[in-house]
This record gives sequence, C-alpha cells and structure tokens, in this order.
Amino acid sequence: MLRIENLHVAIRNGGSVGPAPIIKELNFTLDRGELLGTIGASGSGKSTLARALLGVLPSPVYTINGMISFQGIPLTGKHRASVLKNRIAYMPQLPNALNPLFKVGSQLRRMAVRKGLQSQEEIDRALDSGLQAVRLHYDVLNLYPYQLSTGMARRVFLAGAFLRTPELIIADEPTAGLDEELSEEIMTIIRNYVDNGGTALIISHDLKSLLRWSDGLSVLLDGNMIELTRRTSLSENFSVRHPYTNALIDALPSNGFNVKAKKMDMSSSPCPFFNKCTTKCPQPFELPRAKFFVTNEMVMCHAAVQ
Amino acid sequence: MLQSNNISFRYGANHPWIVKNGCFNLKKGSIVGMYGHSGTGKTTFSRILSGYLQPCEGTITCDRQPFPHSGFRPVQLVFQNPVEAMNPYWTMEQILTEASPLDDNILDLLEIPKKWLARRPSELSGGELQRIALARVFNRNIHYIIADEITANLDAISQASIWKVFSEYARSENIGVLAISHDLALLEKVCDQTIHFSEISPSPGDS
Amino acid sequence: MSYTTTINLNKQQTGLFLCLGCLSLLFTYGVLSYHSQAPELASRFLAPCLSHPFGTDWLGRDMLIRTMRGLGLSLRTGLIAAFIATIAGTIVGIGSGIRGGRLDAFLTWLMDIFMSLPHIVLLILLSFAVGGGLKGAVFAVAASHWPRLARVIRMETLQVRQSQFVRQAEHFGKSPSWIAYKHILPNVIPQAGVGFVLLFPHALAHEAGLSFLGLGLPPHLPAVGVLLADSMRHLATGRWWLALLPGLSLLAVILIFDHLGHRLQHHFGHSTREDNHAAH
Repeated sequence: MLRIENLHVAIRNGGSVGPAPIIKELNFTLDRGELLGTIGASGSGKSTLARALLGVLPSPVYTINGMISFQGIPLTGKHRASVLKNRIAYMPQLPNALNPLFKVGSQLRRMAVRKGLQSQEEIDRALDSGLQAVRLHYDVLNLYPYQLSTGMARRVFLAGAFLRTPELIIADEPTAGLDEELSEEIMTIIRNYVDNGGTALIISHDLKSLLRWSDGLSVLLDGNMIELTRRTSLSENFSVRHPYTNALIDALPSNGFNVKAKKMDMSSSPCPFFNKCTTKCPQPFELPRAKFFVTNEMVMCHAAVQ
Repeated sequence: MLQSNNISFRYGANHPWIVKNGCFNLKKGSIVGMYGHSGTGKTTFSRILSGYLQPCEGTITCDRQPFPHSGFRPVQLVFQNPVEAMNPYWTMEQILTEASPLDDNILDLLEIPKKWLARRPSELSGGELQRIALARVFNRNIHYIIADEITANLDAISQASIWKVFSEYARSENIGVLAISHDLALLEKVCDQTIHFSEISPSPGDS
Repeated sequence: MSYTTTINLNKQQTGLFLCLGCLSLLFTYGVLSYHSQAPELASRFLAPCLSHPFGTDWLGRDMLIRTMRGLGLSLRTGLIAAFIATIAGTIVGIGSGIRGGRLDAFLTWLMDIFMSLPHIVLLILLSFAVGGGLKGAVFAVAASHWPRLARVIRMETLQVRQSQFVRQAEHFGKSPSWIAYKHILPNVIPQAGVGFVLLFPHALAHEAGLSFLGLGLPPHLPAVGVLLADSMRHLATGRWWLALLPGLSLLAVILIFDHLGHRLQHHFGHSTREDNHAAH
C-alpha cells in the first residue's frame, strides 16, 4: 500500500556547511491491513518521516530524495492533494488541532464537505458513523473545542478522519499526553479500523503501546531504520534482532527496567548504536548494511541475532 | 518534611475547585509516586507544592517553617518539557551555574559530557536536556524535588537510565521526591509508595 | 560556454547590498570634503549632464557630491539620534516591565504623554529649547522617539517575565535586576535591534525636516535638509534638479532602511522563542 524507496531527507542549517541529514536511506513497505508502529527517540527523524510522507516539508529548507508511493501513485506534486484529501488521513501531534472559534459539529460538517460529501443526508450519516467509530455521543457536536479534554479532542479529530473511511491513517504520537485508559481507547479505535480493512502507520515513542497493538514494528535510530519486524498475530511476541530494539524492550518498566552499562571503548563507528551497544561487534568500522528477510523484515546490524 | 495542609485551589470564583482540601506529606529520603487521569489536577498540585502557584486556601510548610516566597527555594520542580525552563539564548554552562557552581561529580553521574556545556537548548535533544535539568537541581540546598512527568517524552532507555540515577541520588542525599506520572509500571519500579491523586484531593476532577 | 555571467541576487541579498551601499555614505562627509567644493562660477546652474549627474548649484558646485555629503551628514545624525532613542527606550521599557507597580504606572503615563503630542510640534519645541543646531536635532529626534520603542520593549519584557525560565530564576533566588540583565535583556535585544533599524529612517526624515525648517543643522553643515531649504528658492526659476534629485535620494535611503527594518521585524516576529524540538 505504501512503498518508500531510498528516502533521504536533509535540512539546511543556514550555515556554509552543507545540509544535515535527518533521514538516511529509508526503505520499507507498508502492506494493506496492517498496523505498523514506528518507534524512535526524539531526534531519530520520526516526525520528519510523517511530514515527508505528507509532503509538507518546505522545499528550499529541506532536500528530499527518493520515492514515496501510495498504491502505486507517487506522492509528489499534484497527486498529493487529491490522494490525501480522501484516501489518507493524518492525525497530527497537536493536543487540540481544532479551530477554537467554531463548534465541533460545524467543523466536522465542514470536513465532510471537503471530503466530497454533498447532500445533507450523506453528511449526517458520515457524522453518525464517525462518532460511532470513536465512541463519542452526538452531544459533543454542540461543544466548542476548549470544552473538550485532550482525549476527547483527539477522538473528535479521529472522527473527522472516519467521516469517509480512509484507506490509510498516519498518526503522529496519537497517545502522547494521554493516560493509560485514554491511550487504550484511542489505540482500540485504530485497531478496530485496521481489523475492518484499514491500514495504519503509527509514529510514537511509546513502545509499550506499540508492542501491544501493532502488527509490525519499525525502529528508527538517528535517521536510519535499524529494524523492521512483523508478527502474524497480536498474541505473539515480535522476533527482535537488533541490540537497540532489545535494549529498548528491556528498559521498559514492565519488563525489567534494565539499562546495561556503557561500553568502555569510545572509538567511533559509522553504526549509530555503537557507543551504547553491549554486543560484541564483528565489524565496528563498517556501516552495517540492511539485511532483508523473506518475511518482509529487515535489520541493520553486523551482530544481528538470527 | 514538606507538608501541604488542606490546600484548595481554583482559577477564579466562577471556576470549579481543582484541588480541594489536599493534604500530603513528603518525607526527606522517600520517593513517592502520584498517578491519576490526565487533567485531574496533578500538575496544578505540583505547581502549588513547589511554590509556583499560591493556594486559595490552606498552607504549605517546609521543614516546619512556612514555605519561603523569596530567596533560593528548597523545593524545586522539574518539568515534562525541559526546554521551557531554559533561556533559549543561554549556554548549558550558564544554565547549570545559575543554581550553583559546576560540580564535576554531578556531571559524571548524569553522563553529561563537557562538550555540551557550550551548546544552547535548541542544539540538544529532549533526553539530553532533561539530564541538564536534573543536574541543576542536584544541589545541596535543594531538599525536595517534584518531578512532573519528566520522562514522558523520552524513549525507554533514556527513561530507565535517568530514573536509576535520580533515585540513587535521592536516596543517598536524603532528598524527598514526588514523582508524577501516568505510567503506573514506572512508578511501581521507582517509588517507595504510590498514591492516586484522588487520595490527596477527594474532589471530582474532570476525566 | 557563456561569456556573460549574471549575478543572481535574491531579494534578501539585494536589500542588504543596498543598505551597505547606503551606509557607505556615512564616510562620504569626511572623504568627499577633500574634493573641490570650491565655487566654480563658470559652471553655475548646469542641468543634469554626464559630467554633473545631479547638475550644479548657484555656486557651480557639483550637486551629486553635495547630495552625497549631505546624506552622509544626515545619516550620521540620524544614527546617533536613533541609537540614543533605542538605548533610552530599552532601559525604560525593561525598567517599566520588570517590576510593575508605581514605577511602571509612572513610566507608562510618561510614554503616553509623549506619544499623544503631535510629532512635529514636539520636535520643533525640543529643538528650539536646546538651541537648535546639531545638538538640537539629535536631542529632539531622540526625545520624541524613545516612547514608541519603550512600549514595545515593555510588552516584550512583560511577556518574557511570564516564561518558565524567568520563574525558575526567581525560584533560585535571583533578584529582579539580575533577571532583567541576564534573562530579559538577551530576549529583548532582537526587538530592540528591529526597533533601531525602523527608527533610523524616521530619524533621518525628521532631521531633514528640522534642518529644512532651519531648526536642525546649521546652514554651514550641509545636511540634506539644509540643501533642500536652499534649493526651494530656485524652484520658481525652473532649476528643478536642485530640489528634486536630493529629495529623491533622501527618500530612497529612507525607504531602503525602512524596508530592511520591516523584513527584520518579519523575520524575528513578535516571539523570538522558536521551538526547535518540534522539528524532529
């Protein structure tokens, strides 16, 4: 459904030094009907990835090379607007992305019109199904955005996305700032949507919820995708190959809350994880190349556990 | 001991009470976790306890003295977004020395390399800035630290390593810590005891 | 293979280039005085031509050189006046915003008084009170322009005071004057700089006006205003170049700096705090 090939994104720093790379050679595909979670620390390039997919990186500041295609349609230039309007929905990272001046109901109606729904009946039906999908009561239509809590505001935005069920949802930190219960609600909604034929790409730093809800997990470190792993059912564990991913999972409070001591050897290596990696590296002076597997997974590590 | 006695707070006469008759004690050397739904008043309470907001009713006492409203406060707050508490034009060195002279031991403890000292807030990542924010409050004159969701935006590895250092320091220097988080698993790993916000302030928050 | 190379300057670079060009005029007053400004009665009242692009005046002196010298002098005067106004405005603005209370109330009242008086009247009165001349021009312009900047700086100060890092500094026991110097000042300097660049063309125009009215620089210091005043007499006899060309030059310089000021204002915006963490 979504294919990314050789994506490079760099940002001009405004100095005489050349553009600084943010995303380095990203290659992956997202299949229909799967929920892919992308995990990364701040600075790993994950927000830039979301914005690159939507084509909202302003051009002289950012330089973008590579190919992004959605169902075979390249997401550049004139295609982007029409594809995005109806087929791809985006949930931004903002806590309350609604216009504060207008009631929720009128904003949702306007969103429906923009998605191409015309008759009053169609719009009403879309609103109903949207609200139902996010489990909000239609009373919320009469409220102003400032009267909504963060959780409700996120759900309203999702309802907007569901007015015309999209083929793909890209969500940027959908659970940020939410407590466990609300986080679970939002992820359940997205999971239901995926189970009913949708596809979702979730970008988040919340590993716990991605481990719980996603079919695929991709890990970004310093602009590289160092691992992509998939599982056939939610009750399985992911088979994790990269030491960084293992370290992340180990460090979760619910798992072990473990942090292994740093290596003494501070020599530099092109591998982005080298300085914190406790696994013995067979080729420390070479950048690891991406290894692809038939199961549509990949890993970028010399010492990857098979 | 940091004590809040029947603290109540609301933003104005026509607003609902956010905290009502909140009573809470924090002993030196203990790490207490507080969790609760988003938006129920935990953040407001943390601001009151650290002196950034004045309660409408009730008092706060610190080591049996009334809470000081001038001079170097012995209670400090560490924020979820460290950038907010840093002057964007300052270097890390200036930010660190604002509270007290540089202490190499503290820098080593938090794994802060010397090369960061000349950088500005916009040049470091969230996790790196949070270490600086902590280094600033690891100080002989600070006896109570309130940590408001300090690792909520960080990846799991940074979260674990920061909390390990923080809790060790707090125990060895006998500092009272109130850790606020929505991650119950984290609190249970780090804290001596964990309480729900409603146990302090039995008023209905908005949930 | 092309034999011509085109220099492609984008808008920003063109603007800066022009400003630098204008600033070089600062030096003309010193340098060009070595050129003969002696009367050359043989070439009086020449219209603009190749050897005298701005023509000559009633004493045969080249008008282009006179204009450039005049602009140089005006620029210097304007710069000094704008600089004084900026410093005064910044100090008052920060002093007013940092604590509030009675000092703030008094200073705001003072600012309002100054700003409610008609500009020209205030300028004339102030210049006259100090006795005119170079001193008068600088004093008048500075004293009538500091309130506008002070207001802006005061607003910025109030805003910066609300930021978490200032409240954090208070929590570390820092005094208001320490906070004003270490925290507020760095955050306010960009706006002060913008204010200065915007003030400068104003100062230029006012100085020229004052000199034109005879209340600014004295006639033996040939600032543009003086130039224009002298040239007015000759308009009736059809010597248009004596007034028009210097006037247009002054206008051009003012517009260039005004444009630069607005671009800077746009660039710095009204909030100088950028959230770089949203970039990743």
